[in-house]
Amino acid sequence: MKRRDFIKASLAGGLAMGTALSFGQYYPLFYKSVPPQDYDLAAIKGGSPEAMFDKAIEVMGGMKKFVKKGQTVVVKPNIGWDVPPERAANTNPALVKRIIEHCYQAGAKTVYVFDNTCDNWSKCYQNSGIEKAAKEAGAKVVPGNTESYYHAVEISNGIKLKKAKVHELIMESDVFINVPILKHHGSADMTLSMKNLMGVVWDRRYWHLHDLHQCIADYATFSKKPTLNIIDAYRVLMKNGPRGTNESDVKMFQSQIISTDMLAADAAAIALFGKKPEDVRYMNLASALKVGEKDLSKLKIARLSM
Amino acid sequence: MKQQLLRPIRLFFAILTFISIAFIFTDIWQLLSPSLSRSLLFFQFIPSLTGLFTGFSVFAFGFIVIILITFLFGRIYCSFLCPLGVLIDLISSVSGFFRKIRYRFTPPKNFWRYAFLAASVLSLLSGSMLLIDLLDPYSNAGRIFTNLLRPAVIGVNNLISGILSEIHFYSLQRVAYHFPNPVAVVFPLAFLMIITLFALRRGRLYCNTVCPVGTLLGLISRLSVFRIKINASSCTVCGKCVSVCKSECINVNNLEVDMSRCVGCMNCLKSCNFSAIGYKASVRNKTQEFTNVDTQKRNFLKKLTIGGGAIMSISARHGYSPYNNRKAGSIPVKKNYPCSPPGSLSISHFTAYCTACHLCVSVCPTQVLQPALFQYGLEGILQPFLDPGVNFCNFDCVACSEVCPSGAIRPLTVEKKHVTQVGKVHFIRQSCVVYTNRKDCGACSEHCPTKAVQMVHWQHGLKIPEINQDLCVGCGACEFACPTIPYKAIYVDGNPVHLTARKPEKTETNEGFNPENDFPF
Repeated sequence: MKRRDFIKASLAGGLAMGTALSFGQYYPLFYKSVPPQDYDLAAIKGGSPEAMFDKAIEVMGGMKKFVKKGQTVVVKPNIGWDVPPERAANTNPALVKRIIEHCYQAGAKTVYVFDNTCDNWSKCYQNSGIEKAAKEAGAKVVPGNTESYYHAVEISNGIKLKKAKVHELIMESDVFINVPILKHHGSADMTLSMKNLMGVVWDRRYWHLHDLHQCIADYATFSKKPTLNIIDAYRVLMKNGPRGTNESDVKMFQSQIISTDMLAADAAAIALFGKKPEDVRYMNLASALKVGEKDLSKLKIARLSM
Repeated sequence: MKQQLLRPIRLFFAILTFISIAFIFTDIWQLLSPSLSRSLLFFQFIPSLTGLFTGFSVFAFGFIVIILITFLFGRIYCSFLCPLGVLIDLISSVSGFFRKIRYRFTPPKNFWRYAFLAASVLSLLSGSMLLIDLLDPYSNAGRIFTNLLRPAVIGVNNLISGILSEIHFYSLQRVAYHFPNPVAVVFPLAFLMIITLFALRRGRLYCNTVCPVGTLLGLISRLSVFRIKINASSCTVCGKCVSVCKSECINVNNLEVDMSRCVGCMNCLKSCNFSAIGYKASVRNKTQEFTNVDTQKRNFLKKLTIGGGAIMSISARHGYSPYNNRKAGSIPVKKNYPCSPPGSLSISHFTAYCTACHLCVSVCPTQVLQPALFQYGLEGILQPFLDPGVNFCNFDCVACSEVCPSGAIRPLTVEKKHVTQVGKVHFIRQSCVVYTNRKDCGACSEHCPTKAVQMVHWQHGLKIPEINQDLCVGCGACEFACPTIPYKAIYVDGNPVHLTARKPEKTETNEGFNPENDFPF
C-alpha cells in the first residue's frame, strides 16, 4: 500500500467512525465511567447553597440541558411562611437567586417565581428574602394570593384528587423548576418535592379533608411535572415543622439534592433526615402510582462534596 | 391681613386633610407606615379625646389644640380638619356644578343638636361607645372610606392588574377582598346618602344638628375671641353672604352671625363686595348675655336630666352581657367571647374606647380584623374583632396597634405581641377529620406559630392534634386552616381580659445528617 492510499483510507475510516459515533450513542463503548448527563440524582454537601448548586447542576448536565434558549421558566420555591431564612421554613434565597441566574445564562426568556403562601403572601415574600433575591437575579416575582390566577385542571390518574385549580404560570411556562426545602412536617411527616406542589394549587383544604397523603401522591401524577427538582437541605427544620417556633428547631445539613425524578429526590432527602422513604405514607402511595423511583439502590447517584 | 385669603387657606387645609385621610384608609399597597398614618390623625377630635383616657400620649393633645383654636376662631376644625365636613363640602361643590345651591338663613335646631350631644355624653358615662361610634364625624368618614371607597379602589386595582397579568406584567398585584358583614356596608352607605341629601339642599345640616363634635365645639364657639361680624355701616343687605353660607347661620335681618353653627369655611368673606363681613375681635357684652336667655335650652336641659337618667337606668337594668352571645340554633362550636385585637388589653377596654373608625380594618394585612355585628353585643356593633372565618392574625404583625388613633388598641412591640394571648384554642376531637375519617390532616398544627397545637401519635399510625393552651396566642390560624365543614373542629375562644402566653422553649437537636459524614445512601 502506498503511503498516500494509507492516509486516504485512514481519513475515510476515521470520518466514517466519527460520523457513526456522532449519530449513535456509542460512548459507553469507549468510556468506562458514565458520562455526567446520565445521573438520575446528584447529592452534594459541604458548601454554600450557590457553590453546591453550581457543581451539582454541572454534573447533571448543566442548566442548558433543561432550559433552552427563549423558553419561559417558572421557579417554585417554598415561600410559605412569614419567617426569616435562618428559621429554615422557606427555601434558601441565595439558592433561588443562583438557580435563576443559571436559567438566564442558559438563554431563558423570562423566569417567574411564585408560591401560594400560608401566611400573608406579601410578608412571606418579603421576610423570606426570596422576593429581593429573585428580583436581583432578574426574575419576575408573581403573587399567588387570589383565586383568579388559578385555573381548573383534571388529574386523570388521581384516586382522591381528580380536579385541582393550578396557577397559570405552571400551565403556561415551558420549564418548571421545583425548589422545595427539606423540612419536618407535622401532618405530612416531611415536606419535599411532592409536598411543595401544594403551593401551585388553590384549594388546599380539599386535600386536608380527603386524605392528605393520597392527594399529595395524586397531584404528583399530574401531567405538568417539574422539569427539575432541587431540594434545599442547607438549613433543615428538624421539628415543629413546617413553620418552626425558633432557631433551635434548625440544624445545618449543608447539603443539596437534584433530580428530575420527584420520588427519587424525596427518597434521598428523607434518608438525609434520618428516616426511611417507606416511613412516609405518600411516598408509598406515589410509588404505587408510578410517579418515580423511590428505591435509591436502583438509581445512578452522583455523590459530591465540596 | 386680607381676610379674602382665608378661604384659599381653608381650601388648602381641607384638600390636604381629605386626601391624606382618604389615602391612609385606602392604601391597599401599604405604602405608608402605620405610625405615619397615625400621626396624620393627630387633630381628629374624638380619637384624640379618647386617647386621653387610654394612656396619656402625644396624641391626646390633638383635641386640646382644637379646643384652643375654637376658643380663638370658632369651629375651624369643621372646615379645615374634619374629613366628614370636607366630604360634605365636596358633595355640595360637585352638585354646585349642575345646580347652584342658594342657602338661606334658618334658625338652629337646638332641641336636636343638644339632644344628640347629651345622649352621646350620657351613653359614654354609662359605659357605652355606641352613640359616639355611630355619630362621630371622623369615624363615619373612616367607615365610608373603609367599606365603600376601599373596595372600589381594590376593584379598579384588580381590574388593571388583571389586564396587566394577561400580558405577563405582574408589578401591580391583585388585592384580595373579603366582604364584611352587611351592616358594615349598609350603615356607611345609608349614612353617606343622608349626608348627601343634606349637602344637596341644606349644606352642613348634619354638622349643626346631629354631630356631637360640632355641637360641642359650637358651645365653645359662643365664647370665641375672634368672631365673624357684619359691619352695619358698610353692609348693603344684599344677601350674597347668606346665599353662600352652608351653615345657614347668617341672619341679615339683625346682621348677626350664629357662631355656634359657623363652621369657619370663610365663603362669606369672599362673597362680600364691600368687605362688610369678617373676623373681628370680640369684647363680650355681659348685659346682652343675660338678656338673651335661651329658654328653649333651659327647658331642654330639664328634660335631659330625666331622659338621661332613663337611658342610664335602662342600660344598667338591662344587664346586657354582650359577650355571652350564642348564634341562633344549636351550634357545636360555642364561643363565649370574640377575640379583640392584640394590644386592646381586654374586651371591656377595647369596646369602651374604640370609635369604630375602621382604620385598623383598613391596614390589617390579612383582613382578619372585621367589623363586628353582635359579637361584642349591640353596643359594640361595627367595632372590629378577629374573625378566623376570614383569615388569621399574622404572628409578627402589629399594624393595628400602631395605627389606632384612640388608644383602644395600645401600641405593641413584636416581642410583646408574641406572648399576648387574645384567646385560647379549643379542640373538638369528635369533629376532627383524623378522628372521623381516620386520615391524616394536621392543617391546624401546620399553621400554628407557637405549636400550641401539636400532632401526636394516635392509633392506626395516624397523628391527631393535641393542644397546649399555655402556648396559644389566639391568632386563629388553626381555626382558619381547619378544613371541616360546616363547623370547625378546632377554634379559638376569646379572652375577656388578654393574658400572657408562654414562649415556646428552645431545645437542641442532634438527629439528622452531619455534612462531615458520608451520604446515608
